[in-house]
Amino acid sequence: MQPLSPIVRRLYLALFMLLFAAMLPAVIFYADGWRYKPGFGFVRTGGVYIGVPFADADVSVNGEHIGRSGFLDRSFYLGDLAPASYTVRVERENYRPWTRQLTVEEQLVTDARALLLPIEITPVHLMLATSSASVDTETIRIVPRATLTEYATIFAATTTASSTIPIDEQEGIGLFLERGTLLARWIQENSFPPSQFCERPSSCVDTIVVEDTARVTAARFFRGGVVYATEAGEIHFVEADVRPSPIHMLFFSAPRPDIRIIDDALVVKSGTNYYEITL
Amino acid sequence: MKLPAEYWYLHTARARDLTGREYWLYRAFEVLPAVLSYGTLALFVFFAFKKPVWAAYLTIIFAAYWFFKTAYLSIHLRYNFKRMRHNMQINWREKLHDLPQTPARAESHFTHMVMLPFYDEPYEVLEESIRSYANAEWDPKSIILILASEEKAGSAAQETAGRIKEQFGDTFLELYVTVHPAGRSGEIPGKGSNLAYAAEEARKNVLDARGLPYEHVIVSAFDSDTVVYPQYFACLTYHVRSEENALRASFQPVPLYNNNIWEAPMLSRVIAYSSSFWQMIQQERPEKLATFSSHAVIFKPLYEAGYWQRNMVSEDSRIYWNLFVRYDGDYKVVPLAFPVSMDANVAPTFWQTARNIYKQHRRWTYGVENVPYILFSCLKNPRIPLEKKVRAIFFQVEGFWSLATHPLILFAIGWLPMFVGGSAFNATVLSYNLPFIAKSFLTAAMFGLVVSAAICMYLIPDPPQGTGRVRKAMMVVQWILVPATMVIFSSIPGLESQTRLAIGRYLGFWVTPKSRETAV
Repeated sequence: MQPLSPIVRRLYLALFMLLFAAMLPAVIFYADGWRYKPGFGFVRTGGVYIGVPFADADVSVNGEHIGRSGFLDRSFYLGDLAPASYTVRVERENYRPWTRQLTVEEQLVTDARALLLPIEITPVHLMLATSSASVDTETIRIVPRATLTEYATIFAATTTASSTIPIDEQEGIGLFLERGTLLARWIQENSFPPSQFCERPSSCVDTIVVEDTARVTAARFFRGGVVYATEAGEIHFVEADVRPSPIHMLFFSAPRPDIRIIDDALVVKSGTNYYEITL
Repeated sequence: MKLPAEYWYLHTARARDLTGREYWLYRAFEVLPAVLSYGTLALFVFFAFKKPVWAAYLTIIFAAYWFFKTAYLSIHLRYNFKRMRHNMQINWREKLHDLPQTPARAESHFTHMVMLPFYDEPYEVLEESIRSYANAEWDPKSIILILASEEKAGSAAQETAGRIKEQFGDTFLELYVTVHPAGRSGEIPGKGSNLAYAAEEARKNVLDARGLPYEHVIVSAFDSDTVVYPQYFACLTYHVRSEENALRASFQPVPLYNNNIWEAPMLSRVIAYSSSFWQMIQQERPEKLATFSSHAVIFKPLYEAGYWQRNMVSEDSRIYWNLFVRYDGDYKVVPLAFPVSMDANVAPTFWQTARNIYKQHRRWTYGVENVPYILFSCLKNPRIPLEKKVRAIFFQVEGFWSLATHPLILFAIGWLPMFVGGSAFNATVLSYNLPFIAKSFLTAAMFGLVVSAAICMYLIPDPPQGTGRVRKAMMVVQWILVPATMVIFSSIPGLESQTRLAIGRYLGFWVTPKSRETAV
């Protein structure tokens, strides 16, 4: 049996080189988002990337179900989308549906993180044990005196905030209070802001007006959104996102409230009373 | 034999063997492989940070190239497997008589001289190898066995040589033991210096003493653990006799690592078969083939080239380049497509085995020291045709460059743009498509491993009695380790070898430990 003949080898080599040369431009164009759409010819597409915080959430785009999140797989990438506006909806049992209007542009991916809030959010009153209340209920939690003392110390501490110093900061985003208006500002000057600052991928702002109708007295980042207290005694939760339609809901009302995030829970102080909200 | 004056550079091992302008020229050639490899990797890293889109395109191009290259090489591997299987079924002794002027007793035409260098390997390793030569289907009385020992290995090695002599002294035409003196000037300790010393001793004391013509002596330079299959000597003789000009050719069998494959851990088996498969692929591309490990050559050209180089590590491949230069490019390697069997790396613990594999591959990849040698020799030898020079240089430089860089790019650095490309790049469709496309090509390329696994199952010897099903199944499963082994045992030792060559911290010879399980 003779070795593989040089002619056969050259033929194989030529064939593979030809395939490589022919395939490579197609692959590069594909990687760049070019797709053939019947009736439109070759168009440059974009994509949508959705992050979901929990398993068992259903994700749909323009009403078409695209998948359900799993224990490990909690993100969805939908490519090949022609530039247009798309409505993304994420639903999960016992949670409020989350909807976002996303604009898709050529060669770019629009991303969003779904924020799922429970339908029922119950503030829990933190109390010392008394003769009338000595056991935990759905709305009351008995805590030792030391806890309330520690909370009082935390609330007594004041933070300096100004138009340049944020009242809270998270992942490069600062919360600023300017004459009662609450602003979320991208403070990493040398990098692009995250997609929530971008009406569409190619058009971003560096400041989002979170609240400008009610007079805000305190604000903190909380569970992917922003929680703030107003002079009118309301505690609101809102998403800082320029794209329609960010979540906005009233959590709680109490006279002259102040807020802090302690051990991942929202703690509200109203007079001498403390309330805790966990999501 | 004194080398002709015009080949004064023939045994140059490194820049420091030269002086003046020639030193700097050779030094530049020594640095070149590292510059190319590190330059490529640095360029990739630079692009990943500064031009992530370009880096992503390059990664996709590399992945596609890898896929097509794997497919192309798989064809060669599969064909060589078929050819090797075919060759192993042939009765080469009978086939010899198909050739004109073959005497009735084929052995009378050539004498085989087996060079068996050893250091401190146990008696059992040598005994198994030598027994295979004695039991081959070739008259042992036409085989000269040169047992090349090292003085440095001490009295234990001499005792081993004595036992071998006692047991096999009457089996062969002659069993001649040489003792390579330690500390000879112009040498580094290692296989090359031992072989060269033994060859010259054998010439004076055996060939000349018996009046054997050099052109009728076929030298098989083996490792101490090289076990031959019964038809090896007949197959080799056939190829020597059927070669138009056997005095201008070396003969290369396929190195399998079957001696102890069932004792070897999974990692060792994958590496061993990967090495064999690479040699099988090269057997179908003889223009890219250089001698490796166990090889054969007629004594006359070996003598005229001054034997194996005494002053460097990769004597097995260098002897081919010595002969290529010595005969002005009129030299080639004839692939035998017939195996010999050696030991896979086995140490008492997994980590020792891994360390030994790494060191062995560092030694093999140190074959990059041939690059400056070839470049320098091509400059100094105007008689080598330009086309042969270009091909030799290109194949060697490209070979060592791709060995060190491609696995790292494909399995590590190529993915860098996704992590360091910045938010602008991460917002592109390209950044989302990069992992999908690159992974698809690499996964498709890994189907070549299915071919490898199937060939491996045919090549392995029967398992010892009592081998469990899990261990047998592991012979297939083991191939998933390939991406990791390519990075850890090809790229990294390859880069280390090139770095050592570039900074002048030259590698010394490292003897791979060999052992046998002996009954108590």
